[in-house]
Amino acid sequence: MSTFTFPGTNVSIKLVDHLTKEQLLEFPAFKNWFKTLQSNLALQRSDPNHEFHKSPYSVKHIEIQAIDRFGPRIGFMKIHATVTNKEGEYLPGAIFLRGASVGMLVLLQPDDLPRDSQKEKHVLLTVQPRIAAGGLQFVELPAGMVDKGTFGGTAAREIEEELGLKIPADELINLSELAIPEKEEGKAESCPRAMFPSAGGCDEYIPIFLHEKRIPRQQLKEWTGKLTGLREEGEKITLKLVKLEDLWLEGARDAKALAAWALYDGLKRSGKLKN
Amino acid sequence: MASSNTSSNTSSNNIDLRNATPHPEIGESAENVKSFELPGFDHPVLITLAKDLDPKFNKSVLLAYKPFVEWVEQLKRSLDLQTKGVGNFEEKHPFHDDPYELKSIHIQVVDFFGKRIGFLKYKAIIQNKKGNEGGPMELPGLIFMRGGSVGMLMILRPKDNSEERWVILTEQARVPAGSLSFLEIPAGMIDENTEDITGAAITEIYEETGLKINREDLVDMTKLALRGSPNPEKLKAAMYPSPGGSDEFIALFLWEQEKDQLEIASLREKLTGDKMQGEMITLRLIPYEDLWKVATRDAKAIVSWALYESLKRAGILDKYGHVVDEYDDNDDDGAGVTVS
Repeated sequence: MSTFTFPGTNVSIKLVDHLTKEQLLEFPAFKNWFKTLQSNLALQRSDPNHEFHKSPYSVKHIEIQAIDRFGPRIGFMKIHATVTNKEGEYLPGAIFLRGASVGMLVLLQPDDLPRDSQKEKHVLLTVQPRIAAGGLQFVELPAGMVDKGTFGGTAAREIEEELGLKIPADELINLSELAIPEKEEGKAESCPRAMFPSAGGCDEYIPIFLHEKRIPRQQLKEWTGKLTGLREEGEKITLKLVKLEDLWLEGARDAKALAAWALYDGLKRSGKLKN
Repeated sequence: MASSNTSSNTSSNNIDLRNATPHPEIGESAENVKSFELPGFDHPVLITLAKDLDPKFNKSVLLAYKPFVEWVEQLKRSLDLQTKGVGNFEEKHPFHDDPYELKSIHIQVVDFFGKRIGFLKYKAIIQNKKGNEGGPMELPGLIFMRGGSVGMLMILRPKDNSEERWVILTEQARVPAGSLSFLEIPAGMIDENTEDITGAAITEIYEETGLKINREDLVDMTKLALRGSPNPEKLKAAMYPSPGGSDEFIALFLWEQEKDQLEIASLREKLTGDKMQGEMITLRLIPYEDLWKVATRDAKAIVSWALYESLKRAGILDKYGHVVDEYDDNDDDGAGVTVS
C-alpha cells in the first residue's frame, strides 16, 4: 500500500492494493470531485467575506479504502478525506465515489392531439432488481449515461430492444441545466448543475434529460399492450408506461422520477420549457 | 443507537473455508479471511471480512447494525417472492423458474462514528443457478450502506396571508459534492425510542429560530403518496435516492405552520444576515415559489416539492398543508418508516 502526494498540492493519498497512482488520477469521478473541491476550497482565502475565511479548511489526506472494478475500469471507490482547519475542526469526509450518470424523462404522446396539448403524455419507466434497496422489481426513471452523442446503458438498450426507440443527443433537453443558471446570484462556487441524490455521503450527480416524442396513437397503444404483457422469463430489466399525471404515485420511491416530474412541471409552468 | 443483538440460532464456529473465494481486490489468501455464516437462510451464506477493517468490527456488531439487519430481511422477502405459489390472478414472478439466491457477502469497509457503525461498504453475490449460455447470472450487488433518515419540507405561512409561504433551508459543507455551501431541506433521524426528530440541522433550527419540530406536526408525504400502491416486496414508504448503489431511504415529511407576520419578518432578518464565521450549518428562509429553482441540486428538496405540489393538486392536502379528513389514517400499511 503506497502513499503519494497529489501533484501540485500538499495532499497525501494512501492507495489500496491493486490500484496504482496513475489509475487513481485517471478515474474521472476522483479527478472531477477533487478538482471541484479544491477550487471551492480556494474561495475561502480569496473571499474575505467567506464564512470560513478566518480558519479555512483544507484537504490534508485522502485514504482510498476500497475499489470496485467493472472489468478493467474502476466503477466505484470508497474513500475517506481528512478535511480540517487550524482549529482542529473536521468536515465529514466519508465518500462513496461513483461519478455522474443521467436520468431520462421519456414522454410519449399520441400525435393526433394538438401540438400544445398537455394531455395523454406517458412516461417510460424501468423495472429491475435493485439489490441495494433490497428489491427485485424496483420502479425507476430510466438511468444511464450520455455517451458519444446517445443515451446509453442497460435502460437505453432495453428501450431500443423493446420499442425500437433510440434516443439521440440532439433530441434531448437538459432540464437540470434549464432550471439551474450557469452563474448563480451571490454564488461564487462552481458545482455541477444536476441533482445530487445524497450529497452527504456520495459524489453522485444526475442531470435529468427530457426526450419528448409524438407517436401514432396506435403505436402508443401497441407499446402499452406489449409492456403490460407477460414479462419474458428471466428478463432482468423491463419497461412500464404510465400516465404523466400518475408519475408521482408510480415513481414515488425513485428520486430521479420525482425530480424529473418536478423539473418538467416547474419549467413548463414558468414558460422556460416550450413545446 | 444500536439495537439489541440479534442472536444467531444456526451458528457453527467450524466454517469450511475450502470453497471461500478470496476477494480479488484485496488479494489475500483464503486462510487469512475472517468469516462467519449469516443466520436465517436455508443454505449457507458466508460473510467474509476484508483484512484491514476497524478492529471494533465483528459478527455481533454487524448483526446488531439495524440497517444491515433490515436490508437482509428486505432482500429475503424479495427473494422469497420469486418462488411463491401463484394465485389465480397473479402473474408468475419473472425469476420464478430460475430464482436468484444470496450466496455470500464480503465486507470491504466500515466507518465508525464513535462506537456505532456510520457507513458500511460491501459486495453481495447474488446468483441464479441456470442463467444463460454464459452460466449463472449475477445481479449487481455493490452496496454503500447508511440506513434511513428523514427530510423535512418546513413551510412557514403568515397568519393573515395564506398565499405567502416561506421555506427553511440548510446550507452546509458537503465534501462529497465538493461544496462548502450546499443548500438542502433540513434532514434528521427519528429516535427509535422517543420518536423525536434529532440531528444537527434540528438542533440548529431550534437554536436559531426557537422552532421545535414535534412529531405530531409532521405529515408523512411519502407514505401518503404511496398508500394504495401495490408493494409486494414491502419496500419502505420513502424516497430511495440511489437504489442501484445504496440502501439509503429518506421519508419526506411536511412541517407547515402558521406564524405572525412579525415573527416571520424577524426570522427573515435573522437568517439573511451575514453568515456567522465558522458556523457549520447556516439556515436560509426562501420564498416557496423559488424552492424548486434554488434547491434544485438537493434530491430531498426537489422530491418533497414534487410530493407537496402533487398532494395539494390531488386534494389530499388542503391549502394549509393539512391532510384532508378522508385521507387521514394512522394505520401502518407495512411500509412505514422508523429510523434510528
